[in-house]
Amino acid sequence: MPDETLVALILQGDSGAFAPLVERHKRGIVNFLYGTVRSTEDANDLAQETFIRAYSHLGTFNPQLAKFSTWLYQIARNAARTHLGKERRRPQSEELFEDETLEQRLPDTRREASPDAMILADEEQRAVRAALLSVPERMRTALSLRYYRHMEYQEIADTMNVSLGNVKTLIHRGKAALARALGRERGARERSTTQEVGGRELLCL
Amino acid sequence: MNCSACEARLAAYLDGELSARDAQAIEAHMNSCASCRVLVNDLRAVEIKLQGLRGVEPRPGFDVAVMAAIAALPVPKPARLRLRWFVAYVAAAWAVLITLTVARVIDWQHAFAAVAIELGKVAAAGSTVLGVGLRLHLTTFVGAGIGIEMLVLLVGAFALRRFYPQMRGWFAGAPA
Ligand SMILES: [Zn+2]
Repeated sequence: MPDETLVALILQGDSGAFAPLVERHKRGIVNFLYGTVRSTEDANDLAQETFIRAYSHLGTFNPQLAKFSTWLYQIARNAARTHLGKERRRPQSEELFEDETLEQRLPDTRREASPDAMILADEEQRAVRAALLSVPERMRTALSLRYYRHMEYQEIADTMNVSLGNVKTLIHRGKAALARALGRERGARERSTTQEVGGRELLCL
Repeated sequence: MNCSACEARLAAYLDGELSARDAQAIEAHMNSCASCRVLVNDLRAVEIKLQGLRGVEPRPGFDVAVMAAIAALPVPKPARLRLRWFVAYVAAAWAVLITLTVARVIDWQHAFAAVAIELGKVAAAGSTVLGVGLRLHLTTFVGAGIGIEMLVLLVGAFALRRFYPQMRGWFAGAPA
């Protein structure tokens, strides 16, 4: 049953028709949010908030203006923005990505992911995610929709309410910003290693 | 090709959207330019890293938690219903107005007359200002006329601000 039919059922009073919508979109929403926030926990919390918000505002959804999924991702994006705004005002937590425990290392079941794409080692995974957080929100959203949610450019354009050309530019600039952030981090790591080695040599003397 | 032209087309080049000729031009530039070569290699490396990102699974019990949360919420109603309430509100407002009019609580004739008198006063004041402006035109150069008028009016308005309450009487004739 298409999303929009289920929405119509809910608006007629059948709130149980929301269950298939959650089941259908939860994986995509959680993954999109995972690409824009710090942890799996935050991504899951925000995804649940997204669905609850969507349900309570379902009356304002206009199927003539957008697909249900597009509307849902717009809600998720707003939730992530609000969350990051709050986080910025609070002091930064030190425990960066510490929640990536063994249980969460599930096999990759993404259908659209190309089978020969190499999954990065944990260390590198963390480095890319940390660098992603330093990329401006619009670029990060575009990158997350592309690489965590595997959306086509046109779908990203609809979700972000920008033109196709804009999406391409955002993704390209986002990658350039990511490359710079990763370069900075690598530089910092190399510096700290040389200092450590220097210190050890001093101790030997 | 220079570096900025190369950078401008790099996204299209990496997406494979350039014609064979344009792509060759980019490659020729990269062969001779170390910084653009580094940039392209960095972007390719980032692309590979992005494709290698691992997704996550929603936490167990995700659906149950959402469905429990929405069970406590009122069933959403289409926004059209709100439009219906708006229509009802407007109809009710009109009904009240008509009732008050029929009951002679609101006297429209007097209300309109009062508004008309105020508008007439504004019009009379405007025509006096216009008359002063036209007379000044005859004695000044056409080019400077408007500027001087404005200045005179502003200075005059400022200097005579104390007499405004009395002036209302001169312009509008007898007080209403
Ligand atoms: Zn160059």
